Amino acid sequence: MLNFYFIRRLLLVFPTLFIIISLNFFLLQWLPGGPVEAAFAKQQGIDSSANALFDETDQITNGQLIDDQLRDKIAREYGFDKPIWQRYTETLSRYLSFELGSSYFSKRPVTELIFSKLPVSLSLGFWTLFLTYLIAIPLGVMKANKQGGMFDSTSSLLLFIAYAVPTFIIAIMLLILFAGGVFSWFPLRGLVSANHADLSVTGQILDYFWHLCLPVAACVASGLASLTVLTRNSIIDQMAQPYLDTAICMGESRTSAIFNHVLPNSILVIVARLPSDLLSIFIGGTLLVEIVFSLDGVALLGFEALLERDYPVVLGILYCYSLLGLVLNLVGDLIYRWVDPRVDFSEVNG
Amino acid sequence: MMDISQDDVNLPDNSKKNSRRLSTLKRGKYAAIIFLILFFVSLFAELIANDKPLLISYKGELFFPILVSYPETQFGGDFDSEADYTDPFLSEQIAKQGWALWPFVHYSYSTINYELSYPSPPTSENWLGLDDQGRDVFARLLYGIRISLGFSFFITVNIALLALVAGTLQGYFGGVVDLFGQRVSEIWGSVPVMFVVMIVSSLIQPSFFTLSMILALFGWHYLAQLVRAEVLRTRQLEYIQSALIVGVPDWRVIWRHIMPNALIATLSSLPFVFSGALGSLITLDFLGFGLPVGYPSLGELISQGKNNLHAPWLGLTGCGAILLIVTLVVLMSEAIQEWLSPYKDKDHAEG
Repeated sequence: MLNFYFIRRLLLVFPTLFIIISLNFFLLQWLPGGPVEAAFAKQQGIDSSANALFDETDQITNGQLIDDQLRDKIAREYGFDKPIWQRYTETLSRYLSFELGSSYFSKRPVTELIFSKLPVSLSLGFWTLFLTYLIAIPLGVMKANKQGGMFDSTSSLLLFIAYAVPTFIIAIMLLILFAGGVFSWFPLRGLVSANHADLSVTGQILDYFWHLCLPVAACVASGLASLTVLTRNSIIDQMAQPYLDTAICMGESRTSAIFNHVLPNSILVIVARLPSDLLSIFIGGTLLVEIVFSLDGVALLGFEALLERDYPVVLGILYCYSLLGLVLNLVGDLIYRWVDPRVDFSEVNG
Repeated sequence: MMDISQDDVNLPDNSKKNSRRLSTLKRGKYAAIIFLILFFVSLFAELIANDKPLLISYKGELFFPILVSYPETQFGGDFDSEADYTDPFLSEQIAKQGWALWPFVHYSYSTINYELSYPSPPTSENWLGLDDQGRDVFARLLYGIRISLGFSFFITVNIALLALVAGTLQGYFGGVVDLFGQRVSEIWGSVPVMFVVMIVSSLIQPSFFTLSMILALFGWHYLAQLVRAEVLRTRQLEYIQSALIVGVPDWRVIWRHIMPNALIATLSSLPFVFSGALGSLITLDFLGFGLPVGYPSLGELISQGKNNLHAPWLGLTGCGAILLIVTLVVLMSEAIQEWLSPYKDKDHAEG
């Protein structure tokens, strides 16, 4: 029964992915001011990168100005003279073999572009995840111990506020307070300083962490709440089990009983959340944090590509994200089921 | 490493639990009052911050500049255009022949103060300073809060309605409907909402309503999941099963028994839907894809703060306002959850 359910889930990944890609493809085709206009604008010297974003200027070029001949030439160059269904089937067949095409403007393969930006996004994601788990689990244990007390309720309130405020608002607050507005303790932008190559190895490592402090702090602050509350509740659940009393009766101290018996049992549920946490950290809040701190990562790449109408890059990133999302969701459900056999995902018969 | 005494670990006794419950409820009540005052005050933003006087007495006649647009000639000016009451000549005229009753703040959200170089730090005239286009930050904040709160309310109501209908149908009928619904929700969740909004903002200038409809349309599926889970649970309850055996029609069971349960389950997550809607509007405004340029918006204030780090009061004002609103919403949601918890406990015992 279990295997049947997961085989069906696995098979359903393909049609879902297919629909997502088709949806994204047609959405992008519908987007006015396509790559042809963007390329034209570039030749006219109009900047449409993310830097122009905050100038409140209208990036979309005036269609009437476009010289028809040049337009046709650009359209031929990008393959836009072909009918839409032909481009659609071509895109689909390429995606099946993980051939994501190449960028319209930089002419580099999309996979290469994504891989070149991956270190930045992975840095942000990895340290966020690491610190979130490092802080959330002891905090959850402490909250469970002081359940219902002053510490528990105050920290819950703070965690919920940090969770409910959009990540990039926290990022901007940190930026204004600690990176130039009030205090200039941390760097304003980028992952490393301009003179990074000249520094010693320890200097390089310190420089890297110094740049990561604020972005990671913003991401951790907003991601901490759910994991901490989950840990707390799972430990409270386990503390009600009779085996804790048994251990104490057999002479074990309460602290060691909690760390030796309660925590390992609760941690399973927490580990089962790892896939969905990974997903939300890589896809959720990072885009705006990357924009705020000018971190040159995958999310910023996708956003700039979208502004420039560089469809292959946008579609490629969305494809990777969707695939990652579906797979991680499935893995999460599997782990969950494995950890807690009582969980049943099949339909309830009414 | 940790001092764990026996007392702390034991479940709190009832009196302790009750007092905590009461204090949460009380805190939530005060938060709700402050929130409503904030909303109410922002509703009357025109009467608090405006570049037109509330009332003018000129040559013994009464004028209401906020409601009626008067030509300048009315007050001894030379032009037929609408009177600019900040013009020193005009105010002198009015002062000579009568009096004018001004709002607390003499600036509307788009009034430009040409006397100071901007962005300017807070002064006694501009309480929260001027933004980088010379507009009064306090007035923009006040009008911005009104738009943000109204917008989020509107989206929250729409999302709640959509999610209740979709989640109830999916959970109640189960089987194929449920499996199909789960796929739809999976796909729906992966639609890049940012794209859709960008498409719409490039096709038409997004207004308050178009923007809120799009966000509501792409925001209901998460809440629908909660409703579905709740309905899946409630429909197994004995009284619903017996109602079905007796032959009560589906729609009646849904309307009378399932919906109220689902509604209660939804209620406690509505504050988070609200703050999510607030967040999306601020994000879109920040990126420049939200409400039209010139609108008083908190997101625009924050993006100004990011671009003018030498003027930290801009960003801190915006962030502070958002922090305040979110804190109030969280306090209210805690109280709602606490208030609903007796129902929850009962449900768990039965289910």
